[in-house]
Amino acid sequence: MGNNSIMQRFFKTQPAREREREREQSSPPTEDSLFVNDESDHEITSEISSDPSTISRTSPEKSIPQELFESQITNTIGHVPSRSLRYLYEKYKHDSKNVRHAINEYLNGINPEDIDNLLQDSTTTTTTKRPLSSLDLNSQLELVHNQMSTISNTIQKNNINNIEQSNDEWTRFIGSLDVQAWATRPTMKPLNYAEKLQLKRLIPKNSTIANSSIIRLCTIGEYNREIGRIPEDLTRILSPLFDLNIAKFETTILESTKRRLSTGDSFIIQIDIFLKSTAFELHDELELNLSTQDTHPAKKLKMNFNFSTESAGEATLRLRQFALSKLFERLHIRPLRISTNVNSNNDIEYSEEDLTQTQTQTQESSNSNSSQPITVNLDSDEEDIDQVAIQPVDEVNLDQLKQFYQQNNQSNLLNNLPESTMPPSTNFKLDLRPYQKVGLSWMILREGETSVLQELSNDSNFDVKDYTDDGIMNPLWRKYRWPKNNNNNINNDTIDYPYFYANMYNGELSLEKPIIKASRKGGILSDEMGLGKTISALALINSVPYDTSYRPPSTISKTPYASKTTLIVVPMSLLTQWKSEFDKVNNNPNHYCHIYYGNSTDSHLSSTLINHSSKHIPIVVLTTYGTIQNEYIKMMKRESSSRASRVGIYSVSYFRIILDEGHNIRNRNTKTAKSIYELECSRRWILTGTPIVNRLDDLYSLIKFLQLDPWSNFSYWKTFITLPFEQKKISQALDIIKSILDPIFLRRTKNMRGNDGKPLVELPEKQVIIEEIKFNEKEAKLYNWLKTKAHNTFSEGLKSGQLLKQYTQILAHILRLRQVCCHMDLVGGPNEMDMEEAEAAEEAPDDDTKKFVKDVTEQKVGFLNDTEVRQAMYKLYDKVNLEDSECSICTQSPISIGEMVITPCGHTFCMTCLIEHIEFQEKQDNTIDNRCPNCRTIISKYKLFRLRNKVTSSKDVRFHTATQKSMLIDDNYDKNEDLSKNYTFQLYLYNPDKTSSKIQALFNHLRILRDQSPGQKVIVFSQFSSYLDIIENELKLQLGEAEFFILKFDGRLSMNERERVLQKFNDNSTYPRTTILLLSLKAGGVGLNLTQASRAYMMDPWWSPSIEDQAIDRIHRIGQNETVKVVRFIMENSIEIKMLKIQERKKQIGEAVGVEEEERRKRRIEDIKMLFEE
Amino acid sequence: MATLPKRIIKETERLVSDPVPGITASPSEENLRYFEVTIDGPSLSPYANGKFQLELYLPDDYPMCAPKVRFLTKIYHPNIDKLGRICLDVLKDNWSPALQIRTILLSIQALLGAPNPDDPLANDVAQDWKQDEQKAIQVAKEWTEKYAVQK
Repeated sequence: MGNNSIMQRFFKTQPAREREREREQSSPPTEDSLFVNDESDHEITSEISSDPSTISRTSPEKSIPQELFESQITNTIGHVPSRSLRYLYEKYKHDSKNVRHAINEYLNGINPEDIDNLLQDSTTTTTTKRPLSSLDLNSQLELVHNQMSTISNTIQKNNINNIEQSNDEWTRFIGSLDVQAWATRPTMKPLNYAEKLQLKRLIPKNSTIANSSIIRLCTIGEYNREIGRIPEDLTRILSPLFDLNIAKFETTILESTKRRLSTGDSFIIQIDIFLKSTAFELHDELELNLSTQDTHPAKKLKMNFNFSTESAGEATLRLRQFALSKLFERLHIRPLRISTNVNSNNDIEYSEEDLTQTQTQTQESSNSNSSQPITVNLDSDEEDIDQVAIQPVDEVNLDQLKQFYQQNNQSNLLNNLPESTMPPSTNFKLDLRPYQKVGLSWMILREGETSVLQELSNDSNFDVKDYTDDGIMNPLWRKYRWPKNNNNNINNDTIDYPYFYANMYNGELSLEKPIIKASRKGGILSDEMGLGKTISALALINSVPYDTSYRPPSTISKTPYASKTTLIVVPMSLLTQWKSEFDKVNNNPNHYCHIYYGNSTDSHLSSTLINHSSKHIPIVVLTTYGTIQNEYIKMMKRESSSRASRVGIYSVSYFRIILDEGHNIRNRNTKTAKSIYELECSRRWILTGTPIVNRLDDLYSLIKFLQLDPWSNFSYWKTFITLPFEQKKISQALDIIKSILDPIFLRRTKNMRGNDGKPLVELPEKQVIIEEIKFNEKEAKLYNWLKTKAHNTFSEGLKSGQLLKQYTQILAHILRLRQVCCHMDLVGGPNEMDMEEAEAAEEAPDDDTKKFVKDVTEQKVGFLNDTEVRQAMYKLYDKVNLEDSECSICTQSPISIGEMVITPCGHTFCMTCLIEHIEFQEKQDNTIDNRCPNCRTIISKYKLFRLRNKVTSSKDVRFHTATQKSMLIDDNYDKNEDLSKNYTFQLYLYNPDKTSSKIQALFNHLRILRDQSPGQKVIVFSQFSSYLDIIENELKLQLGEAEFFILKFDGRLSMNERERVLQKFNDNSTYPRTTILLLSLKAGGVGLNLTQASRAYMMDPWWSPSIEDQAIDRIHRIGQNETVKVVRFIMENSIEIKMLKIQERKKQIGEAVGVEEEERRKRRIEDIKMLFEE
Repeated sequence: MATLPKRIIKETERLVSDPVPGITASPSEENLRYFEVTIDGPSLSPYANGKFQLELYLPDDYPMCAPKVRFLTKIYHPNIDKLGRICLDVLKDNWSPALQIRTILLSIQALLGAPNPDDPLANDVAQDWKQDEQKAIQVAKEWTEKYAVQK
């Protein structure tokens, strides 16, 4: 009650509360049930009063609301007994000077008998009229209840009798309809107001329930003859209710007719509708029906759409569904929305729109939008062009994803879970973070191991009973509040329910909350990357390592049960990581981790796992998706011939299966997914940071693995989630998903705060620096040329209003511009054909562009021809001294081969030093020729030679230098010179225009890093894998592998190769070389933990800032101990700057979910405009 | 430039560990690009016995551009002006990044031994030098005695 009075403070005036308190004190204990129920719903009464449907049913008479009346009186004269107040109200409510008169009478003294009389009267009035306003419903119901009304309502008496006879049967008011009926025969006299009529159902012969639709209106009394009928549309709704024994009706003439009726005359009646208890009893039967349909998904759909083939039972269901949903629609009965705001306990009513959506949903079905608009969105980042055509309809955009996650962050539920749960230290070595302990509590609860939880948590305050799985409401059902009625159904102590539930998809009704028992043990742990899902899973395994309830041997399944083994399926690249994590945490010498992979796969797995005599227990079997898939394929082949007993990984049923990076099975049609479904176990877990990768259906596959009924049935899923989502009923679909996921889904993010108010994870600082780089001369030329072309296309498009039609073309232009920012070779070169862009082959650069690129990049001041080059070059071989070389500029000695440059005058320098020198000189004074620092010979950057690791035969060199040395070389010389003593390097002409400003900027950073802190690991991100190729080459050429250890990770690598790359990256044996990982964002999306690195370079901006953040998160995550430094390279005055602006905008407007296509189009155009505005 | 390029560190180390005879150069504690330098006057020159104080600063662009060097001790020399500025080709156009602090200081020392009044910086001194070399040398000696000889 304490809570209640707080609620009332917001809705009632001070005196009103006093009144309430009085009433409470004065009212006898017998008048509880209805009253108390209403009371507890108090906060919503005010809402209802504003509901137009309620108001429309109130009496037309003007009268002061009781609330106001009472408060005025108590304000004037203070305390007044509630009974007296009620009496005064009844007496004076229609009086214009009501308050004054009432006060007078009260002060003069009230005759107690008057009170009784009048209150009795008033009961009668209110039953024949409509309630005055919902605010006084409380007192009225109380009255009604109290006085045991004396109204001569036979039906009601019957009703009461019924209740006395059998506690099972009751009816309850659901609503009233004002109906214009029409007379079927002349009446003797006018119909009188409040005259009762009776509805009678006429079922004509030769007619089935479904298509007969006549309801007669009959007089009550001895004649009991038909006088009229109700309109056809209503008849269709009401007759099934009749026939299926769902509802009972009471009919009252609402308006006296002025004269007697002739046939065809209309008159107004009011039909009060009462739901019968029988309607609710049907529940079980229907449930049964439904569950049999589960096994026939196709049939289930037919029930909704195909009338011709439906069985009688299905016809009944459909009728029922139709009648009830239409009835509710007519009565304006709306379901209560399951509150998504966990802090308030209010259930909010669905808006009208939502409701109609729900009700019409089944009919609308699959007329999916044919007007699928261009769905390239700038969010997609990676594949700019080829998505135009292929983006699937149920693709989830980033905002929807955001909403999804917001909805499914259940911080509140977790607040009360014990924060002290730890796996037994005999099994588990490490300590857990507080939120991981909460997560562990949740996981243990999800497995139903309440006693384990109690034991491990040591939390005396924690009551397991609060957490026993009471399930969640079946999302197909809606919760409704019983409308409050003044009369008739008063004595329903037996149905002490303020709410009822209805399934608008099949017309089921229930008083009990329809619960989906989330009976399956397991769930989805979807903590954000870096929060330690692996550790959490291992903690669970070590907390509940064996199936304690297991009684061998099971007779049902032939598959032997490995009751002490958890199977963990991981992507290949994470196999070793898991193994080492297991060893790190494992503290039980008898527990071990069996790796089932590659050569160690065998057909004896079952004997390994079910060897009860062995002291060593393989509590974990680690395997990969690939392994399982292979065995699955093999098994399918075998099984096609004969159903042989299962072997290998399928030979046992596991205690528990954990899928790491579970989104691997997101496509239910893949072999990977199917092979996983085929595994047997009693508990199922999925770990994934990204349960939805692209589309909502990704989630389906996870749910199918979890065997979460009924959603694991795809037709259910499709009907209730995929289709509504496609029809843009996004919040509806997400709502259902929320209710599905609620009990089985746990997600925490790094930003969430624990109970102590601190972030869950305190990560070291993150510095992101934007470094603006100037184009070099040639880049600027090419950029401006391409920009002009792009602008022309753009303004054409803008003029003609066909901007979106030219979208692809414009995107291609944009791509070119972005490429120039990265490296000129990306434009038009063979490198350009990245896998994604290849699709847009017709958008390949035209000959114009190619020619321009060539012109721009062609060298001007170099050697005249190849002969000259060779002449100069081969002379230099003998001048190179790899061991004793020193760069006179930076004093580096020896100069690494990749970095060395040699001038035609034979002096060696570091490439960068010399280029810096030359550029510095040019900047200082253009008129002065560049000179070699060592000998002051004139040099040019177009006449420099670089070295690479490649054996060059001395013969070759001598051949080219022969002309100079000509006769000097005699045979002796030749013999002295060992033929095998070749040069270990090869010279080649350096082309300064081949490199890009951005790459040079990167290299400058890398050099400084190398000098300052050797052995660093850095990551270089790009979205163009061809760009990574170029960078890799340049790295090798310019920086050399002696000091830099270069790795590349992109989509072209096989799983094995990926793993190797990551291993090498994390290996510290390369110290003191600087390790550089070139990482393509597309490929680096899976669970990579790169915390070994604390620096990252982003070579090119993405459209969406969140993708960049995710990339940074690869290193800025748990395990990172150092300040993370990120440099984003951006070309000055280029499209990249504008992309930054778009990113900024996206951050600000934070794309609302479910934005209409129209709006999205608009934004896309805005984005493009932003790109092109000056 | 917050950090010191490797080259500067190397050069500094070598200047300290393997000094050029007659020349000292030590970096300032506050700024490692600033050096306090002394150069002994070459023995057969008017500047013999003098110990000349100089300051040397390595600009950010070093070694792309030359160090800035200036005499702090007053000196009578046709290529060095009143403010101690030095007219020396390798400090100007003829700078090469292959040169170092060490070589520059040696060049300056050499300049003391071979004044070049034909390319003067201090015009009056150069004039004197040309008109009456003996007298000029005498003045130079006097100045050295007066300003550069430790007493």
